Amino acid sequence: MRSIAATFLLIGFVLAAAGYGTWAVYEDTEASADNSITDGTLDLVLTDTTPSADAQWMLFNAYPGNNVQEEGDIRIYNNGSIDADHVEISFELSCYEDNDGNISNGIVAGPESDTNQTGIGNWPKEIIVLSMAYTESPSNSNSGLDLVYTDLNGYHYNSSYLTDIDGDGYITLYDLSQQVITGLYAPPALNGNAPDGDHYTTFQMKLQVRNMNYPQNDWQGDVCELVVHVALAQNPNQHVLSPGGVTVHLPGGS
Amino acid sequence: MKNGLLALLVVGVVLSGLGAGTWAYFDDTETSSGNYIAAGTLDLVVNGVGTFDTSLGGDGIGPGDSDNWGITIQNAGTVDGTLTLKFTNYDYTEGTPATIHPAGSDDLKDVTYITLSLEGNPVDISALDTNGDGHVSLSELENQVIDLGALTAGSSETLTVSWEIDPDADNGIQGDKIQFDIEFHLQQS
Repeated sequence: MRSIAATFLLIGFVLAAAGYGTWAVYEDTEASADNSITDGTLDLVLTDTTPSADAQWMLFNAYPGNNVQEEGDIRIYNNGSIDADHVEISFELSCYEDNDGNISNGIVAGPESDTNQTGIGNWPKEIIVLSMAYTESPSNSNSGLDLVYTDLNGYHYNSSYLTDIDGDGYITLYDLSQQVITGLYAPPALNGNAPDGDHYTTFQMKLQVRNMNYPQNDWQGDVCELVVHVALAQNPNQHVLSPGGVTVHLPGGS
Repeated sequence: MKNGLLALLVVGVVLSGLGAGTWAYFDDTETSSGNYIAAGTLDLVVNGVGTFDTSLGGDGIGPGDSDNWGITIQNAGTVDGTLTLKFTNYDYTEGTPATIHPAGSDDLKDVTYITLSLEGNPVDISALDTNGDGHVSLSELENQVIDLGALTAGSSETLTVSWEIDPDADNGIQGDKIQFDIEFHLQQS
């Protein structure tokens, strides 16, 4: 029985070999070569009307007063090849106890009239966001967002994007330092053509130093640097940024 | 059976590792830095002090005497301000000796007349002459806020305080002493 089975197997191989020769009809083979998988990019570029988005908010010799205001804006481009889902923005305050509003000449406590020479008091809570808007160019794309504005009925902010952390009725630099603005629509992917001066979103913000109707001498001569972090996120579930917070630097590096 | 479970576990770990790679979506972050908010300063510096004392061992002044005090006031800050002053914190000592006859009834602060000038220009305080005698006395000045106008950032001015004791003052002021502060206040304008 075992030898019969071996015989059938041998026959089978022979027939298969014969058939292979018989069935070898015309054939042609082409190759699709040079296939590759290349990652897309999500490449954020920030500008202003100038190439750099730095130094957009510069308010020197500030004091309490409704007329003490500063407005700046940032243009946000996606120079990558993948459309982003959303934009996030956070704010970091790096503040210095100083005597003359100029940290390039050293950090010195003072002046004598500064009633808090070991800090900046409540200054970040006394600088309000007078207006904040997020828009897209071209203007016929996403609708503009008035995130903070004032009208005849008073001061308003869009609670879908912003939270009044300390509940004082205003969005201040302190509030901004404690949160991330997220869910903002993203500019289109320009695949290396950014900045093209045409397809971008703009973040605009006007600041005002509030007159609190009480002495605000506790931040005389002090300085704060505002660092604005902007992120492009690919996926709706992404949370890229964290609140920037407030850091106070004292003379002597403490 | 145990080996089978182990194999499944290994497969699961490998798959989850692959998944973690898949779920790491792209993002990119840039910053706008160099945005500065710098506070100005409003820093008042005052130099100058004066005394007058009719008490025994004091300045030896009497009716008809007068003098000037020069006080330099500087806005050492970077913010313009408006300057005011007031005569305040009066500490009056009635020191007329009982041996003086007639004792008199005048009060030193009622018969000490004050005029002010800023950079040589008279400061009009005539509205404070409440008794209409043509003089503004220390009594009439007490705690009254006097506007001295603008004091711009970095500038300084000299205030001259001139005092005169009424030549007709009676013995009531003998030995009297008054001490007070001239308080300056600079408010941002």
